[in-house]
Amino acid sequence: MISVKNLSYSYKTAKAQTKALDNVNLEIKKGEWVAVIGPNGSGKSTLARHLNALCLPETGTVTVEGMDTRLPEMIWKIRQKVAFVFQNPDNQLIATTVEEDVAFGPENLGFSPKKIKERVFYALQAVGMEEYRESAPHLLSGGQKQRVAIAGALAMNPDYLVMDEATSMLDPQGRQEVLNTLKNLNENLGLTIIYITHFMEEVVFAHRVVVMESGKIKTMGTPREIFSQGDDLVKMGLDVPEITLLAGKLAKKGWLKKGDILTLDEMVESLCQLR
Amino acid sequence: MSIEVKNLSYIYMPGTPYEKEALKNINLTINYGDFIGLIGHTGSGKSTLAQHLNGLLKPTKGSIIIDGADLWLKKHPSRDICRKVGLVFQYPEHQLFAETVFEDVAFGPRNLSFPEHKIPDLVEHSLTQVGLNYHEYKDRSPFALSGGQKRRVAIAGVLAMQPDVLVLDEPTAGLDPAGRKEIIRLIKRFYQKGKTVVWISHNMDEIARLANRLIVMYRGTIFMDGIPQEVFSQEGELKKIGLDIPAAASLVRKLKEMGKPLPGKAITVEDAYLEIAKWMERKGK
Ligand SMILES: Nc1ncnc2c1ncn2[C@@H]1O[C@H](COP(=O)(O)OP(=O)(O)OP(=O)(O)O)[C@@H](O)[C@H]1O
Ligand SMILES: Nc1ncnc2c1ncn2[C@@H]1O[C@H](COP(=O)(O)OP(=O)(O)OP(=O)(O)O)[C@@H](O)[C@H]1O
Ligand SMILES: [Mg+2]
Ligand SMILES: [Mg+2]
Repeated sequence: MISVKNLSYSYKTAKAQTKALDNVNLEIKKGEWVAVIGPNGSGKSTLARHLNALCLPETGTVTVEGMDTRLPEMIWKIRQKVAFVFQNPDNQLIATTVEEDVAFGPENLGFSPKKIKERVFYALQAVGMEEYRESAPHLLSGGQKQRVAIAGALAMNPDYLVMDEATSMLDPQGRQEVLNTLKNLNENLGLTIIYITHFMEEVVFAHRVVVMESGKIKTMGTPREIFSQGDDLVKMGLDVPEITLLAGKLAKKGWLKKGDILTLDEMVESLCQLR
Repeated sequence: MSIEVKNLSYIYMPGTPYEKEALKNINLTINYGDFIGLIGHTGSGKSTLAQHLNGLLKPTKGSIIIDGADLWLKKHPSRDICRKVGLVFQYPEHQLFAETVFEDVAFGPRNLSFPEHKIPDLVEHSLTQVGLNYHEYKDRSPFALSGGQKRRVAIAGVLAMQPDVLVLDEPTAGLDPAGRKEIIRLIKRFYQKGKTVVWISHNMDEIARLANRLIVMYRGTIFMDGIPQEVFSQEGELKKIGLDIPAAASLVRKLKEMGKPLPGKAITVEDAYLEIAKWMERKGK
């Protein structure tokens, strides 16, 4: 479990101070898939960075399986458990080849050479980048960099995976593949996922959605609960999935029994039931 | 008037182990007044092509011809060209560089010798257009911002140069839904003034609503070029190369396949609604 208690945080520069988190409380259970949404600047990345001690609380606490992120002797153990994929992959790609880059995490974790090889192979395959094994990460296209960054995190075989808009530049199939991989890891290996996104379509995969606004958690609930408050979301600068929007319009006309539809398949089923 | 791309090939780092042919003999005419959606799988060459359109990359072979004049006839493309074609980079971090948001947005217009007394108004107007409060943001470092805020500053910087052609490389990635709608409205207005837009995106729903012409890239070549309805009617081909069709199109097509009486041609949610509404109204009678 990751537990965030009364967490506040401000960025301080010579000229200004920006309050990014304001008394946030959140518990993430093992095996959970939590989506985090919220307008630009609402504090999502700042919250995410606290989960593996990249940021330390100004007030309040963050603990990962009981380990306090403020204790220097815990940081190493915490980072073994919680892998992080940045919003911009340039912040995370460091090695001279893709393969070395992906191996970096497992090497640091002290995996055996054989296991490192296995993990790297698995991770590159999971993101469809095997053929770029020997390329230089900084010479890849935008989406290829994102794929490598995701592979780097998957290779560590973490217990918790924090994805900060990590698929924002993937082509539709690439995004689907990554989501399928995560779904599989979540369901079969109990990987806990914290998934930040601006794509409401991706939120549907989560067990629980956390909605942030101005450094605070505004509301929480299942995707269905959250997306049933479409008007409130739009007021906050958010939205519902395209399909849900359409379902809402059809339901208003009485052409659909229920408007709280989240996926294409639900929509087809529901339209075909009417006769 | 137009931008012509003629027999364009581009090789990154030729003669090194990292050599990569990113564009292979591309031929293409962008007519002024087009709203082009440029799509393609990861690594297909979209960003590389985009960077040729304003002279950032020099063709390995072939040429870029703007209004009849070869961009690279002289050693450096002229400043007028850079002014004509504005490029918003895929990652805002690659575009932002100044100490403050103000200086960053002011850089382009200053470089193009816009009169200094007009710069503050221009910067304020550009920041307001992308939804950033001028007084709140002008003195902040562009690097000490959230991802979506950086994206907005980068777009403002290009708008401030008042280009005739805008090339936007995944401009809505990182924007919240409201920001995405704002930018789309803004670029639509720009387009309605008779200007030209090239919009790179992986979001098929977005592109279906915006573009009047779609160019699909595949491994450094042009795979398809046509109106969106036509391109999105080739679902199988698109899926083979890592793409997809808009959600609304999948929906009406699935319904049609199941024998429901609708045309199955919609590619936007708005049109899908109309198709379903017609079907329902008929059924109601
Ligand atoms: N390095 C920094 N220095 C100073 N202020 C910062 C820094 N990074 C973020 N901020 C500010 O902190 C607040 C929260 O930023 P954060 O990056 O957590 O937002 P976010 O929800 O991830 O936004 P986005 O959707 O745009 O990525 C914003 O007001 C932002 O301007
Ligand atoms: N600086 C570089 N040096 C060497 N190769 C590069 C460089 N930049 C891109 N490439 C390669 O050129 C090809 C085309 O890249 P480009 O960035 O144009 O793709 P893209 O279509 O924009 O992809 P994405 O959707 O991922 O942004 C890719 O295979 C990429 O690996
Ligand atoms: Mg962020
Ligand atoms: Mg690109």
